[in-house]
Amino acid sequence: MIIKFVLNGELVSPDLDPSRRLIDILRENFFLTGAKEGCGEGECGSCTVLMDGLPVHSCLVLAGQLEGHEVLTVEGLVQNGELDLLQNAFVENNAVHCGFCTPGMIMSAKGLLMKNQDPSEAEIREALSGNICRCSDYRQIVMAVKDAAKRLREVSL
Amino acid sequence: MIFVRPASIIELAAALAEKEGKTILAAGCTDILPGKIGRPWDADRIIDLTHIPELQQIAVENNELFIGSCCTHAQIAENGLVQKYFKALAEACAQVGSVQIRNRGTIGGNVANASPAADTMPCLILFGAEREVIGENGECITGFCLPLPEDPSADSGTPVSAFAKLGDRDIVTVARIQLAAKSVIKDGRLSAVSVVLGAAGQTPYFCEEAAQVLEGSRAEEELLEPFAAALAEAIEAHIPGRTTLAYKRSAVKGPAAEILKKLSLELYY
Repeated sequence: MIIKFVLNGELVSPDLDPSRRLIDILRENFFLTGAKEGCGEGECGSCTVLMDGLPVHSCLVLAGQLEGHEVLTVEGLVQNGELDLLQNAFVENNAVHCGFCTPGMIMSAKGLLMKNQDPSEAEIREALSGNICRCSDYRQIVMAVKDAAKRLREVSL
Repeated sequence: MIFVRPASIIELAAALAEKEGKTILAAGCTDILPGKIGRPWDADRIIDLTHIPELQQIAVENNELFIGSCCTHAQIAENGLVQKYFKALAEACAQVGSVQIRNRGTIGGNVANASPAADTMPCLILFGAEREVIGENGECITGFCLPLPEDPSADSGTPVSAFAKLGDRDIVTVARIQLAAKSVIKDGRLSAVSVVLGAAGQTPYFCEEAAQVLEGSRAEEELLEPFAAALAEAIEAHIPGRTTLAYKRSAVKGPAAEILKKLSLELYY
């Protein structure tokens, strides 16, 4: 089935088995391996991507459901070879240990900052509550998101 | 595997009328895809429900609020009409799973999956929601109609409602007990109180005795003991001998206190 959707800003129309999962399409057809499969049942959040600007589990979306939608993965945050402000904040705040959860964490945080540029700590923790870090790196992750929000507000001024 | 993507209710009805072997109705997929890794589909056909605009609507129609079956929990939680008229349902939807689950999981799927811990169910029962279905055997839910409360006036009073959920952790949790309550504030007191208990039996149920404790009151703190005791009795009647009975009898005091607090805030603000 030909499925037309926007992937990281580009219109694509691959011929796909519509009953496959979005995470498999991203990793196996488009070689976008940022989104990771942790649990495969919507518990860990490591496969999080944005669909029409909202964080979703790519392991719980069918390829056939993508028609007409817009998908943004962690790879799509890079513009002209430059990391996104949020990615830089993760690097500078040492919010990456083993890195397995990082793409999902960043995409959940991206979804939050697209709606709210001045989130409270409680709002950040709520937005990331569906993302599990096995290194227990939460303190630095929350700091990175706070830092990114601050930088975003400064850029927006 | 045949994949069908109807774009309207008419196309959906036509797809349902075709006999194509075992069919799966797919919406948010938060219940059908977990555990699917590498396993073949036990079906001949998938009908995708996510491209039908009518199923994603929330609108007032003939003194009822229609909520399309493919409205997501996030959409319902943030909807102004739901927050205004059916606050308990908005609160329940805001507590389902994680942000990612709320962005995909739908109210129709929450009901169709029929988990005893489905968070929207106690509220739909509390508000007297009616299910709309299509298909020869009514196999597809298209939405829910919730009768709107009367407009606030001196005679009818101001409608209020609240939801409380107890799980193993504060957020991203499966309910161990749910409590939903509605009432009308008249002359500064609770009137026409209804209380529904969920996740404390196979299906949610009304708890008349607990509602009677609150009837005519100002949701005072002193009512917590008799309110929780009435709820504990109802739980015992519904799950006698179950291993979780002792826990639930005692733990219901938590959601009971939360409901009292929420109702008292409605009374005073």
